[in-house]
Amino acid sequence: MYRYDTFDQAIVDARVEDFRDQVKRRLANEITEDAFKPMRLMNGLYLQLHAYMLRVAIPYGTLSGAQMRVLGQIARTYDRDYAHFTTRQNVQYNWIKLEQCPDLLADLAKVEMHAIQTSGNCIRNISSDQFAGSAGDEVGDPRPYAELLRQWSSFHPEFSFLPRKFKIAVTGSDTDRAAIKLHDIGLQLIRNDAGALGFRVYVGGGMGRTPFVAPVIREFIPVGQYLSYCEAILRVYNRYGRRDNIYKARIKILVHELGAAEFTRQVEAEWTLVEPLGLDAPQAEYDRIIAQFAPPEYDATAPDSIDRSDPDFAVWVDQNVDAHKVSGYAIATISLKPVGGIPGDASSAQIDVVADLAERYSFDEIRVTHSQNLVLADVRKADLYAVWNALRDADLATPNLDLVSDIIACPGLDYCALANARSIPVAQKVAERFADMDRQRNIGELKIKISGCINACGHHHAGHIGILGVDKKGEEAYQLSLGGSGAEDASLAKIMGPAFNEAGVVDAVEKIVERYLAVRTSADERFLDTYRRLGADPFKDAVYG
Amino acid sequence: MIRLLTANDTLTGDVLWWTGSGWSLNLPDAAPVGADGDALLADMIAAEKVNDPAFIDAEPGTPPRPRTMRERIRGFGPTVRTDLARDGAPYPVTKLTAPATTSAA
Repeated sequence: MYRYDTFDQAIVDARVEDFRDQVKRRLANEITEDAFKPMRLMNGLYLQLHAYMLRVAIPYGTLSGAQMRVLGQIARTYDRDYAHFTTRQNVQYNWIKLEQCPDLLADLAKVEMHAIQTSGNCIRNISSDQFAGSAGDEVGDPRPYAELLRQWSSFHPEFSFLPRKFKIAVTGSDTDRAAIKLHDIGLQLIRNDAGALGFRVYVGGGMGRTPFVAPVIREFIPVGQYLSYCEAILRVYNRYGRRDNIYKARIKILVHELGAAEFTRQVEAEWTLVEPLGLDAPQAEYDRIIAQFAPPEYDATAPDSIDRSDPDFAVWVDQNVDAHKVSGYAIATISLKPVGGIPGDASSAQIDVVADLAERYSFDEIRVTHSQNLVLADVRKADLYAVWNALRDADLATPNLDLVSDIIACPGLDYCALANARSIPVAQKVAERFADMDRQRNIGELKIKISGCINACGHHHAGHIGILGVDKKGEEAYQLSLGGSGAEDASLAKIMGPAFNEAGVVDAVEKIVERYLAVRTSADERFLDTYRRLGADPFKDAVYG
Repeated sequence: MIRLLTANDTLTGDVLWWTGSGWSLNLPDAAPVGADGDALLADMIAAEKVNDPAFIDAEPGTPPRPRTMRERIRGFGPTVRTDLARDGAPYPVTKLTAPATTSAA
């Protein structure tokens, strides 16, 4: 994985000291909260319902064991012994004290981490495929390009005050595990007919109040020029994106209002001006970064079989283990969705366990997924049983990846100052309703995503079943949507009908699932496929009929 | 319905409730704000010593019951962890349960 050079370290260290001084002045009341607020937000520090919340960046969701340990230590030292992994592959702490924040950031900086640009109208953490570098279906490893984007976008002077926040995702295979079509820019690594490596460029996707699936604005940009092309996209957005209405300020609105063709024309015109400026990295810099993502020293003699004699282990392997590009290895997903638990939460002890396992069994690397789970991407098949045993001892071995209890949920009204309704209790109750693992496996892939407000941090627009919490005259209510997907077959979920209270929405989900089981053509037809084949009517009938 | 004055502590971010003579971390200590409330709030905003001071509506009682779920959660903590909730929460707090045991396929 990428390691900081002296320049990276110097700017992060300098930022910590800047913030230390800013906090000191705020606590001495030498600067107003209005003046201080943008400074703390640019360092990822929000004020939520109960306390300050710090969002720490995890570039493209990749962590070393040492970094993971520091996340656990921060949970113990500065928070209440747990952390929350987010849908942007980041981590959040919910109970931070302002006076301790500079020391916390200094601890992070010692392991090459920070909270810079995890808030504000700037380019946010670059996200990517959690299986990057290990997936068998990969055209190329997206991480070096995500890393170069990180360097380009960090403190970019022209793009620090955009009309609105800006999110970029990079993938390297046809299977989309990073929801690239629901990002401001989605970059898919592909090869053209000549065999050259480049990106298909999607622009203008997003969720929130006005969701869009991004159109393609360029079928192929060579890898050597993608940075200047992104610069051109950002320049067009920065110049023409709306600043008069926060709800219409994202690039998706600009692309929609101009039309993809006109937006593309403007980007191409800008690129003719930008490209000659020499913004793209020289080959030596590409090579330097790519070398840091060189494959680890895989054991060529690793056996390619898995001893499945323990039936509980076999269930976990079937559900949470994916194929690796190297014989004898596998990709293991660690579910942070125990039935009845809080999606994405991990205690400091669990964080330490995962760090241990990464160091011992997965070349010292952990990935965070946008589905709020963790991944060990390079595990010898022969070691899977030991990994599973350790995970089971730490309550981390729930075999529910992509099943009905593997629910994405934002923090919702239990923590978030923007939320209208709680998300976590709904996720817990749905998971408990379907707690029987045999029932879950019979249902098969079913992605439920819950947001506590229209900002859609819980990705409800992309849920096979999406749940949106709303406020109805001071009471929490929940709208159901069906048919969304954040994968390569991206689509936006459509609202079913009138909203429910908390108990009602859990009942409604169960009715939808039971109707699906009754009408699917076979166990191989996923819920989403059944919905696309039959439409909403059978499910509306089940719920409202 | 009564009006309560609330804010967040600048140093810690903790939720604060105006008691009539100072700030308390405990909602049961909150005192209704009367006709002098608007001047009090203006002073709070000007002094910049707490964050986001604002009035909320509540039903009188011991403790007062904020009208909205949002403010009830601010007053008594998250509804999803018993260890993070304050005593006397006017809603059931979920006790975290262990992961479901797996069964053989």
